Amino acid sequence: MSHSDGIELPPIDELLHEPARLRLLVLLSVVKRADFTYLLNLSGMSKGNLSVQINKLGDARMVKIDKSFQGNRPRTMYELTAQGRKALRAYKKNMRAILAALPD
Amino acid sequence: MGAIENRVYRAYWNDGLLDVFAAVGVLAIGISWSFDFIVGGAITPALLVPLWGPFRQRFIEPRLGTVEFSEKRERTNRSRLLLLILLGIGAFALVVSLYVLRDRLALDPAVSLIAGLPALLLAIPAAFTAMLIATGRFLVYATLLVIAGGVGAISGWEPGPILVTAGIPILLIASTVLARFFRNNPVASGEQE
Repeated sequence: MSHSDGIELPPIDELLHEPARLRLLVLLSVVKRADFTYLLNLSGMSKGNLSVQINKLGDARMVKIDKSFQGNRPRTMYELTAQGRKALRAYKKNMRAILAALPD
Repeated sequence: MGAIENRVYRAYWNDGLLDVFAAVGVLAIGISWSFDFIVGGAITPALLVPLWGPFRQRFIEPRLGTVEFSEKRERTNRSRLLLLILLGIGAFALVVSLYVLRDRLALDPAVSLIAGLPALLLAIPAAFTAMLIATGRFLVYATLLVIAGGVGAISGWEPGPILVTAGIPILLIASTVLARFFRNNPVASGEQE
């Protein structure tokens, strides 16, 4: 039996397949947009981790990053892009297919 | 709207500021009625509503952050809020009419129960708010208003003291929720990016 005939599973987006990033995308998928402090409170992540993960999502154009000032305070708003929403939908579909193939 | 969206939305209202505004509103209306200043019932919301945004921006957002909800949620809120305002105006007009006309009403038992009506009618928007923001605390406030309204009317109290009696425990609960929020959510020291 050849090992080259591997079982084909739906592809898993590795950028999304990480708990912190997935949590951020899910949170952003249910609101229009949110700032750094709000995501920090709702995700329960540390500032450093949030900063790293949200910027990775920003670099992948899954999250739109909008920097501005509110009075003297810098404020960064984050919004899920159409690309991010599409990727999240595909991830859900693929994970569902993989989990459905699992024996009980 | 999904379960996660509902949870996120409910968390948005868990700071206690709205509770404090509601308590101050009930107390202010009660105190103004105690001094026969019935118009205070209309002035109080008119004074509190414009303060809501600046207070939230000044005291809550630096701790909780800022969020904008989906268009669908905003639309649902606008229509529910409009209904709440209409309900409030209707309830207030009914209460003022009954209060002003109470001496002309022929039925004595009805006259004695009229004193409890403002509290009972304020319980309606409180229950409606509980549904609007999906929090059980406002159901507790509605229950307190109903109890104060019923017991106060049977005991022969005036509307003002009844509302003050209901407003004090609401303010205590609201202050506790707000204090807990302040304790658990210090002002964010800045973003790290």
